[in-house]
Amino acid sequence: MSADLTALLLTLKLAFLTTVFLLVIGPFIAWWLAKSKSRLRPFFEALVALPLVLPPTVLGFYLLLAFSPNYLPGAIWQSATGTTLAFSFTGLFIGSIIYSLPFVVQPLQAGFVTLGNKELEAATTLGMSKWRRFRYVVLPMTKRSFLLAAVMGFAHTLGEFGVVLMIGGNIPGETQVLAIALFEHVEALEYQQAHQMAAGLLISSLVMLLLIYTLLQQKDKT
Amino acid sequence: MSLQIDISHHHQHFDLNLKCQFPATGISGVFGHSGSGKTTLLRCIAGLETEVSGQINFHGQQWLGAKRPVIAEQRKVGLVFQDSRLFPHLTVYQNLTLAQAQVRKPIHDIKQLCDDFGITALLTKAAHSLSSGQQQRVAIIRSLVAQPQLLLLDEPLSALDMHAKEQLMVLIKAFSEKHNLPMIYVSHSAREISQLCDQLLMLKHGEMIDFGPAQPLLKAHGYLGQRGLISQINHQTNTVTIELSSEELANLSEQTEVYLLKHR
Repeated sequence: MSADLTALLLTLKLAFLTTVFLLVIGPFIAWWLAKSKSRLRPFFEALVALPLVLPPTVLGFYLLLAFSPNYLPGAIWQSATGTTLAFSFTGLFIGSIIYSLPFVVQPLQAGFVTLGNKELEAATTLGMSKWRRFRYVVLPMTKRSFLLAAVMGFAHTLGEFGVVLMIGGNIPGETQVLAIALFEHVEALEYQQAHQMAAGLLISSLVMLLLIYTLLQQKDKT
Repeated sequence: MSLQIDISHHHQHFDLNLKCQFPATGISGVFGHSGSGKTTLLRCIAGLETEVSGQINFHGQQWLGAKRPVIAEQRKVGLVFQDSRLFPHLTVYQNLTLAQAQVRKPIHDIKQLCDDFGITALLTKAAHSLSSGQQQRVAIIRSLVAQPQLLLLDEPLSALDMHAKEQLMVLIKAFSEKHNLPMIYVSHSAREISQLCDQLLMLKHGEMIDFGPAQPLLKAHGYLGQRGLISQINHQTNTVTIELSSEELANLSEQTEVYLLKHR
């Protein structure tokens, strides 16, 4: 298997796992941010949004330190598994979760705010449990937000570069994702391969966004 | 066996302080002007307001006052909201079946109830496409098929015309009697209260001003006129609203000069 194909499969695997994980934990965070009246809410909102404004290298640098066996998280991980988080796929996965968090949480939060409480209160008075209210009322009424969150999370992880470079390095088959492979081709003056890769990323990103906006437009009409 | 309430709740515009006892049979009314605390009272009973202190007991169950209050979905209290609150992503039929799915042993026939309430033709329609009057009929049936042990109705007929109101009042009363389902009916229409309710709680600024049998209470407070016409009196604006069916209006106009103060 060529190195580029390996990088593509690794990138897709990383984007898929990150998106699935964020779609599991994202709704809880988004729900709390949408509904909580806590004074701490602005702090946590800012924390979640931080990767949007922070240079990826800054986030990558602090994650690299945290993943090192010299610091507590990295030390705990090493004593539990015998491996290091830095320069591993698992470290890359954790970094992607943090880096893509706002891209999943924010659309969900917006959806939950728009949903309001009226239908949920009605469901409660019909005897529906929290889980059933989520399953039968929240989920179908905010499915656009979930769709948007999934596509944004996936697309954003596909294009990740700065954080990956800092915490994952460039190990083929382990941490070399598409954006890094592209960078390597450019550095080696292999412009034809770089063109193919860049065009592939450009087109796939455009297609994903086109798909999501077309779907959202269709739902608006219905 | 009754619904005993002794609660305090701070609302944005008033404090609700109430101690009363509703019978656990028939239909009890709650009457008062806008902002008197009627809706807030229903929300407290249903468990939708969280910052309520005091006690609420129903049929020996302590919903409020024990260490942990019984949460809303476990009280088995139905609530028909003034704005219906149907699930807009579902059809009428799906709204009803979802409500019935919460019950282990359903006893009500959805299709029969829809026939009775005149909404059979709407079953396949999307809930959000209905008129507000149609939505309100569906909301009433939805609450009934969830088989609550107590049903609260918050001005459920306000979006309906006079003929539909009369028709639904008969159906609601018949359902309560047939299934022995206690109901608390909130309205600012003395006409509806007079026709439906046995007992009546009168509220003003979150306080009880009177409690007792509905008809004598309405009469004592000037809401039930000499000829049996029902009026709503607003002391703040010095206006009287009289709700008349077309037949009553036709009979009146032969002998009486009618000033239409406000058409509802």
